Amino acid sequence: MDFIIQGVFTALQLLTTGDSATWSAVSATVKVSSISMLFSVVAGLPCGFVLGYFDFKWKRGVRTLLDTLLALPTVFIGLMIYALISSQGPLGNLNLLFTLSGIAMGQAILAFPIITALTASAVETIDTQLKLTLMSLGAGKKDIMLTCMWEVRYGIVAALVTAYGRVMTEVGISMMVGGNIKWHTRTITTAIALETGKGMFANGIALGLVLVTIAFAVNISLFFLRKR
Amino acid sequence: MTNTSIYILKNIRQSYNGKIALDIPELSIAPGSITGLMGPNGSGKSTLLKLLAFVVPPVQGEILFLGKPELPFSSGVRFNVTLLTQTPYLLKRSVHDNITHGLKIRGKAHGVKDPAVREQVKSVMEEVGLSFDAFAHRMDYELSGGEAQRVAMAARLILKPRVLLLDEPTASVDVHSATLIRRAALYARKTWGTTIVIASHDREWLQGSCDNLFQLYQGKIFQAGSKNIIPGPFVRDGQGFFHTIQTSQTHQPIRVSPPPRKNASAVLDAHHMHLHAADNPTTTASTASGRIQGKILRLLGDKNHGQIIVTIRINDLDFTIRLTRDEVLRQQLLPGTRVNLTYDLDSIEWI
Repeated sequence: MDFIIQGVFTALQLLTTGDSATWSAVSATVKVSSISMLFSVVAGLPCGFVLGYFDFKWKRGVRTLLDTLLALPTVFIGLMIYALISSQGPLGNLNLLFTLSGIAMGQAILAFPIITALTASAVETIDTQLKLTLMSLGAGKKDIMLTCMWEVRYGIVAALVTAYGRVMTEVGISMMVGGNIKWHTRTITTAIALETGKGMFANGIALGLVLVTIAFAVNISLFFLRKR
Repeated sequence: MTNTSIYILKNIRQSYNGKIALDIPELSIAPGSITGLMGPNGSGKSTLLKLLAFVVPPVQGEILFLGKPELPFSSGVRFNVTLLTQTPYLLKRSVHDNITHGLKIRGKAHGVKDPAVREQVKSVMEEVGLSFDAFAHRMDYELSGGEAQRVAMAARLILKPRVLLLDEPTASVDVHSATLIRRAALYARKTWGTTIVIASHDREWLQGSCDNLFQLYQGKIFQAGSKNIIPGPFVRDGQGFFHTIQTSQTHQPIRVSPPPRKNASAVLDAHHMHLHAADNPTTTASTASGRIQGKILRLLGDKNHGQIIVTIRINDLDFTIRLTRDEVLRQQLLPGTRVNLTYDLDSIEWI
């Protein structure tokens, strides 16, 4: 028990004194998760809207596939991306292996089905009267889409937070595709795994505290956004 | 049908999953007029209003708006026509933002502090009996059903629409809200010459305010008061006559000519019906005619034709025929008077 308490104190010391190795992992995590979220949001939000709003022939099949992808193991995504971007893979010439871009690619694939499926679920809750009301007020197709998205904004934000949480906390992709290289591709989660393996609990707890703080900050921001 | 009509419908047919919901060979609506639509639930009133609002395209036929064929989202109709439904959707925003949403779509609202917009919002809110100071900043979930309907009405009025379509706007609101909504509709016509089409079960409102009144039944449209519908099924009695099924001791079987198919509905043209006070000895029925007895429910003046619309309740059905004022006075007809209606069986049409 003492080593845990000692670990918390050391963690606070590492964070407040600006330990460069710790902050390098924090910086890598924030960078890579932001890039991956950007791509998955740009692709996932429109796909989720289309899936939730329109009826088409293969809709149920697509939903089932997406729901399956929600449970996709991160090590499997890591493996697939590794195979794609390794020197023998079809994207080997892009030199993405053991880079933050490679990790971002995998994390975007992880986040995409979460954003798409949860956005579709939120859009499906839209009252059928909304489209009629908007059309009767003179709305064009773009106005209808944007207003519908705005009406289910809390559901969409919940989708984004869920995806962000998954991306921030995954280990498999970061470890396999990034290689856990210090000062370069070491993220918070891979660092925790490594430090714990080495018996350096203080460093592990420090990074864990950062993760919890980021999650807390995101949720507090959302709470105030909702209140507005 | 004239070239000056704001709407001309030609061979309109609308269906859902293969079932025909509306079948209108032709219909025209004059600009600035108030048109009423009556009919039971599922008769096609809402379908017709959605077509007139251009929120759905017709499966068959065309709708001319100001002489041009138009479809949903076309520029000719988008900013001219607006529809208020029975249960309107309010955006998850304040009353002010709900009312100005249509203006924003038109690029005419530049923020909540725009004094011109504020004045417009205030004015339309007053028209529907809502105080700007008390309601403008309330959220959608802070309104009662009647208040929400009035906010939705205000959101249409602020657009100064050329056409205002009202789909049973007073059906699920309190008496006070209903009165304010009716008043606001008339205000739109008076102020901007708005053409109004109202679907409602409120016969008195329609007959009191409409220039034209139509009745819909099973997707077909008739001039109100011109046709009376007797829903099937019909059975054949021992003498070989067909009539409605007697469901109770007090139910009066209504005789009809042989129906062309099971579940067909009979249509009695009001012009082929004759009304006599029940004690009138001249009332006879032959084997070629039908006779039914009922009580006058109401007498209403038709301001357009100078006639009296007489509504007679028979079983659960309301029959209407038009009489001259002199005829009503001669027969001393009043609400509650028992009357006989006679009609030729040969004049019955079937739908």
